[in-house]
Amino acid sequence: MEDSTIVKKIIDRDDTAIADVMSKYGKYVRTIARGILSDERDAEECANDAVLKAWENIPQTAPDDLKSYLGMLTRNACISRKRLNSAGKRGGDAEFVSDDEIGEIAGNGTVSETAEAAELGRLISRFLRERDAAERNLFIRRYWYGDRISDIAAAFGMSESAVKMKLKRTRDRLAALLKKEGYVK
Amino acid sequence: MKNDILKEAVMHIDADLVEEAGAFSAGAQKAVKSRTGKRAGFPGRAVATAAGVILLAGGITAGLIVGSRKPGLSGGPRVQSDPGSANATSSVAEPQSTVFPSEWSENEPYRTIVLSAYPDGRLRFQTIAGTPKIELAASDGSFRPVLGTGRADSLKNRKALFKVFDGKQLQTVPGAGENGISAEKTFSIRLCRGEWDSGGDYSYVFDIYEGAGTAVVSNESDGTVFGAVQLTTEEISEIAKGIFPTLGTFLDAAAESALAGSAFADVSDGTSPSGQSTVRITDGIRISKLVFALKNLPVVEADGDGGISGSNVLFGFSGPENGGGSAPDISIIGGPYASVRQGGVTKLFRIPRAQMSELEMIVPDLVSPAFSGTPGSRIEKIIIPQAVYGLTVQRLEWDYNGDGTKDLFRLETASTSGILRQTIYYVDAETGSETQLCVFNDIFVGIGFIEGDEGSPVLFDCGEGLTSGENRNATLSEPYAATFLAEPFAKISTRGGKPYLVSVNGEGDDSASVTATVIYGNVVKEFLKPVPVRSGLPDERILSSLDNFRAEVCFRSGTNENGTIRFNERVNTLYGDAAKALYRASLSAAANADYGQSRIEEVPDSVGIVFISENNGEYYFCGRVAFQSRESGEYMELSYGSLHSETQRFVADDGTYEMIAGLAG
Repeated sequence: MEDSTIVKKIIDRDDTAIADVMSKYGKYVRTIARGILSDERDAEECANDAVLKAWENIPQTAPDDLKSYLGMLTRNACISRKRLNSAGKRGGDAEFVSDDEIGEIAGNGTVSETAEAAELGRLISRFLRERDAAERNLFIRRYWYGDRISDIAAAFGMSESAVKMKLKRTRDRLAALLKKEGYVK
Repeated sequence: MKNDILKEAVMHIDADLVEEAGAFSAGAQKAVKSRTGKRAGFPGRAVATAAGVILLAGGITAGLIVGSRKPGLSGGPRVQSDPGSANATSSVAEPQSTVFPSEWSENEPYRTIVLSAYPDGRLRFQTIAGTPKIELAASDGSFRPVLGTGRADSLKNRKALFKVFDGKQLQTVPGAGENGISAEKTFSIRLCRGEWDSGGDYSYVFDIYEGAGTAVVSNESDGTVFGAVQLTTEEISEIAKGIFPTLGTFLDAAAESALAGSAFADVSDGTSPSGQSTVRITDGIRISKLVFALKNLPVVEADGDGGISGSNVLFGFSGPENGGGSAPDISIIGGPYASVRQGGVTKLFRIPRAQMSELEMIVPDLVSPAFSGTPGSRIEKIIIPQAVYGLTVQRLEWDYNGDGTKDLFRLETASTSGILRQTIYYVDAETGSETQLCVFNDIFVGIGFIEGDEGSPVLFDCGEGLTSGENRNATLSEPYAATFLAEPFAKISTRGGKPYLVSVNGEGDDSASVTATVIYGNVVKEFLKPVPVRSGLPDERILSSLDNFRAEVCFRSGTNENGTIRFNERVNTLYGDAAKALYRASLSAAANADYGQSRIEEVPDSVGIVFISENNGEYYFCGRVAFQSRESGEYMELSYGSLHSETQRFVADDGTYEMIAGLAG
């Protein structure tokens, strides 16, 4: 089923759209959730929450890309859950500094206020496609999934310092691209 | 604004790239690493496998699958003893391969509880002290965690299973390896994985057979029987309680009944990996459990109406046999979602896990022939404005359709030749014409409404069938059909065709109370309480409990528009015992009175007595009684009609009146 059809069904409040979403993207959202949360049940709950969120949001803001939208909702739900789970724990916030890292790509510059996130997202996607798989996946694991450096290092068989270095270089390349494209002043 | 947009932009990275990176699940790799002592390696490589596991997924899956070690698993043996077992060993024991299948799906089951099988027959749980995790003892002696951070529910599950299974002797059973076991089932606890799209071979059966209490663990997909464990009733119950704490009571009974060879009238197979089930149970416990579960659902709290149906995925629930054929309004549409349709608006709710587990267990069992009927609107409360007989003629107004126009129902009470007759009419608001709905003779009749979400109350009666002890069909005129099923159940239909099944209990005497319990028709938010029915005058038993009882003797001043006699000119007031004595006398008189209402108008100056109790309202009496003044010797009619032979005499304490009552007509 086409995404547009699913979106329309959601807008029309046709609850069979949920089954359609789960049929088409259920595996996708669960994969994302499992990639962020180690507790399978938490992952399941967040994936479910994400779909519910889509149901609630879409009538107001129909996404251009349903799959990405679901992924983003899932990611956000999982990150929230992760923060909740680690609340009060020592170093609990340490794993969420990735947001700051990505925000600092612009350095002292400022991202154009006329830029749209989706537009920048496409640019970043294009940028990542030009990188090798390891660099690309490191970047996404860190900044999209919000993985800890230590976990990434374990998963990729690298030292933590190597992961940090590789991420730094990727950020620098991205910053250069943004500046070149005129997004960062 | 500064650079926040960059963070947001990352979220717009193409989905395929995100998905690609999703395969690199750092958390999972880390978990394997921590147990095996080695790095698990890059994703895509098979992770550790198991020696034996009991799957307990979604709260309702159990089974035993055993597999061989997969390539890629590394880590040296970890020798751990089992201090809790008499067969504790300090060496690594290989699983008994002759009993267990050699393959195990690589698909990682979730919410797994571990059960290890050893050649000496021990089943062993491996837990890690201080953490909620349970580890699986693999064939090479290594261990790997199979549960994440614990939750209270899963802890209960684990404890229950651990308590029961740990150290049990696993036995080879007849028929092992064949397609199931031919033993006749009395019931089975069919525990499903519960993931709606698993589609894999995760559905395992944990059957408990009659008498022996044998739990047979098998793979449902191919019928392979892995082994059996002897369980006592208590152990079965223990498992049940652990898995479904809230259903403990039910399962207690179930376990007992199973051994007794009864209870479940129809427990059929049909469970699939997606959770489809056609289990039918005719006892009422699950029904009430369903009510309980639904009552606690957000869907209910959020204006949910309607019933459980149909085309859901998770339950495979084929829906109730809807006698009315009306479409249900709540659909469990799969997994944790329920959609609620109301007034053309569809709302979607997610059912929390804890509640889902209840529904998973309960909902499939709701389909019971004895409880046919399609759930209708959620019933908020039952209102019985007045349910009396005697002198009160009731007119009940209700905006039945929610269209702003009140519908009028009238309950008329009359007595002919000593037989009380009650008739319920529907009054057309526009024309004023009345349609007789039903007539009840000499029985208690209550009339009231069940108010639904959509302002569609249900007219019901609590009449025939209550006192007769027989099954009757007291069918009200359409569209208010009320069919009494096996007492004390009644199916009530509204004009919209949505039937409710209510349980009515009560007695048809003066002290009648009515409990109308909606047992099928969705949630009763405000559960019905016994409704005191002022069926005429209180009897002696009630009288003795009344506080501040007094009797006000009044002149009759007229008749209101409903035909109710109005007394508003007080002559005298009696208190306490005097009032009660008057009451008794009046009651006695009433028992022999002729309710010849046509004669009311003939006695314009009749007297009435209003009996009042502060804790039980007012009771009006207008019987065939009269007072005789000591001073004048005159008789004053209490009600209407002429005086006849004297059968009873009463002198009030204050000496004002002497009552002559109980005059035969």
